[in-house]
Parts: sequence; C-alpha cells; structure tokens
Amino acid sequence: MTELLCRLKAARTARGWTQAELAEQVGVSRKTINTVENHIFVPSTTLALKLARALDCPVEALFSLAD
Amino acid sequence: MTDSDDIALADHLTRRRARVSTVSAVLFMASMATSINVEDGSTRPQIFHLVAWVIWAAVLVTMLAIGGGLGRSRSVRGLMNDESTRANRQHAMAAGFWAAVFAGLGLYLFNLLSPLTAGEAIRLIMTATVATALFQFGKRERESLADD
Repeated sequence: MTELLCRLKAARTARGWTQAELAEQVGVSRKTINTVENHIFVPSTTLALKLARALDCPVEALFSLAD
Repeated sequence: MTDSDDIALADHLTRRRARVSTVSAVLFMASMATSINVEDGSTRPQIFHLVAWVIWAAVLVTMLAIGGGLGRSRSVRGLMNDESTRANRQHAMAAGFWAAVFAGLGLYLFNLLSPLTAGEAIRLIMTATVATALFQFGKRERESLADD
C-alpha cells in the first residue's frame, strides 16, 4: 500500500495551535487530530480538505504520497 | 467551529468510554467463565441469571453500536463519534466477527467430543463476539488518545 506522508503536526505547530484548537476549528475531536498526526488514522478526503482550509494551505502541503 | 468546552468534554468522555469498554469486556468474559453450567438441569432455576446476562449483552452491544454520550448535546455526541471513532468501531466489529467465526468452529469441534447445549454454545459465541469487539474498541481508542 502506498504510504501517506503527513505534515499536519508541523503545519499546526507553525501556527502555534494546540491539537484542541485545531480540532475546534475543524469540528472534530482532539483524538482525531492526534491519530492523524501520529499516522494511526488516514483521514477522509472531507476531513483532509477541512484541515487544509483551517490551516489556510493547500491539502498537498499537509498530505502527499511517498514516491 | 466547535465550542472548546464541547471538545474538552468529548475528550474526557471518550477516555472514560475507552476504559469502560475494556473493563466491560473483561467482566463479561469473567461472567461467562463463572456461569458455564447454569443451563444444566441440576443447577436450575437460574432464569434470573440468564435473563440478566441477556440484558447485559444487549446493553453492551447497544453501547458499542451507538458510542454512548446519551444525555449529552448533539455536538458532544458528534465529537465522540467522529470519523476516527467510527473507524475504530469498524475494526472492533470486524474483530468481533472473526471471534464469532472461530468460536463457532471451535465449539463445533468441541461438541463432537463433548456435546454442548444450544444455550451454552450461543452464550459462548456471544461472549467471544461481544468481549472481543469491546476489548478491541477500548484498545484502539486508548491508542488513539495516547499522546506521542
């Protein structure tokens, strides 16, 4: 299976946000943010787009496929 | 945007649910282990024990399916059952399915050597299914909540 690279934690911390603050912006639980950041859970397309919108960046800046 | 109080409350309730799921799985298995022969004619009447067990099993399955949060706001319930929780629940139910399959196969073979009553077999398969699903759900939720 193709590996998904996730840069969510770096993007969040660059904004100075906690997991709870990002969760609040996106409307999900802090646990969901935690699982995405720790590569436990691959988010749906909808959630990935919501995360990108909350962090004001393209979704490709948060998630990409490993070559 | 979601209320920060709802996020904190959902986080707290999710942690509690993970602990309760694991403890419930252990207690449910222990209950089965201590009541293997209650359907025997020699130990009747045990109808209250069996009815209580059926109600307990139904409550556990219902809680696993709906995810708790009863009496809380729609927002908190939504946060407690967002997509990572639904994924964990899906994995837990799949694990329960496999537990049912293997319990059924094992009991069929066991029955060839030492006949079981239908009631015993059903209770053993239900216990394996529900306890496995609950245990897996609790485990995955705890892993999801663990900070890195």
